[in-house]
Amino acid sequence: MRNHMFGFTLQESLFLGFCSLLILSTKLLLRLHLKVPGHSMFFLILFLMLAALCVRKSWSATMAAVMAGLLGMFTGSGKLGPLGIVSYMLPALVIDFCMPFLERHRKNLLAFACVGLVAAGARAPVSLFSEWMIGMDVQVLLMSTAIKTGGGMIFGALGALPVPALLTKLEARGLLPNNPKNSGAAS
Amino acid sequence: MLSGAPRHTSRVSQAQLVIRMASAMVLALGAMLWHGQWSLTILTLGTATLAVAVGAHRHPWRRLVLVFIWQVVLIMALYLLRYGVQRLPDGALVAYRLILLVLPGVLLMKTTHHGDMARLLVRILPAKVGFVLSTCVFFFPTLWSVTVQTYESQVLRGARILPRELINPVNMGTLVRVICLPAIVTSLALAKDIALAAHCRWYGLHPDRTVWPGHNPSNTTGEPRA
Repeated sequence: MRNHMFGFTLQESLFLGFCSLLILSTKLLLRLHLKVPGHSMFFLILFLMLAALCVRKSWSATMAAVMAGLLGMFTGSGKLGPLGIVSYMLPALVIDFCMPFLERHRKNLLAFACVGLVAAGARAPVSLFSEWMIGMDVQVLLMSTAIKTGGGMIFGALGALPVPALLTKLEARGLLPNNPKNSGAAS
Repeated sequence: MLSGAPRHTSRVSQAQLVIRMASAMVLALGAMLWHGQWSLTILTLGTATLAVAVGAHRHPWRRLVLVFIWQVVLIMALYLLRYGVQRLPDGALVAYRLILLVLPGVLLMKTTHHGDMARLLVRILPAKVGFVLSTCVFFFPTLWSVTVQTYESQVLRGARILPRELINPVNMGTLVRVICLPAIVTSLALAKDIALAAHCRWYGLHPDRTVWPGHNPSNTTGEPRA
């Protein structure tokens, strides 16, 4: 099917949109029920990795993250407004840059956990910037960011662990092409 | 279990919504960037005015307060730990400023109908991006209802995925296996069906809007082209 927007077909765009809505809704649900710091990174990393590895095109995760940021900003669930888009985009950029590495190590849980850890850690600059701008003391700011990012990184690594098994199951159901060079979920 | 609390939102005009969004953004940016002598007083008054204007008093606030408590406790504890009691007021001010940063956006979320937001989104963004986002928002309840049904069925089967059981990270694996996998499969299938339906109705045939059923100049037989 033809290019719909930014090199993605309509089906791929819709799938990325659904991934972004799943990210937002799971984040809201966990915020209501669990109240554990950093837990939202679990589903953020999980769905961003699935978006990237199901569509298998450059910038898939970033596209899903931008959609999640836009929808979050417009529905008010993104607390930081336009900065919210950046806070979704930074982990997605890490995942997109690591895509060739993840494709080569599809069965390696450690590789996925490392990428999840780094991707979740990539969110730290947003937290640092917003809290620095409201005038927080630098030492307290660093400690606060370390606590928040540390929790997020652990949950990010945990969120990346089920991805290889999920991809195997999706492939077994014939929902993903075996050849990574194909246009992905929506070819 | 998965369904949220009922929303107490009223429909507003697009102009009103734009004004509300602009006010919320100005207040949030003010909390971040303006550190003048009267900044906290003026920002508090501004946020209170926004709260009154959007009818925030009609909404349940217990959960919202709980969201803020964690943030305040963390900042105060860190100031106490690092500097002792003498700089606790500084910590309180920073925590309060953080609430002022977040509160306008949350007020907007709590009091605005999602449909109004979606319509504004379609107006602002490029047509194709707006179409994808609004279609996703429109069809998401379908995907979500399937997910909720799966969740309820799995709970009845004995899966350890109740909110209190998810505090144990081991049970997150079960949640991923029995809820996320079906959700991804459903979203892939739904995206495929919607895209096929749209293409069958000539969506994307021209750079401009295509209306279906309607005159299709590039297809003399009248058959839709995918």
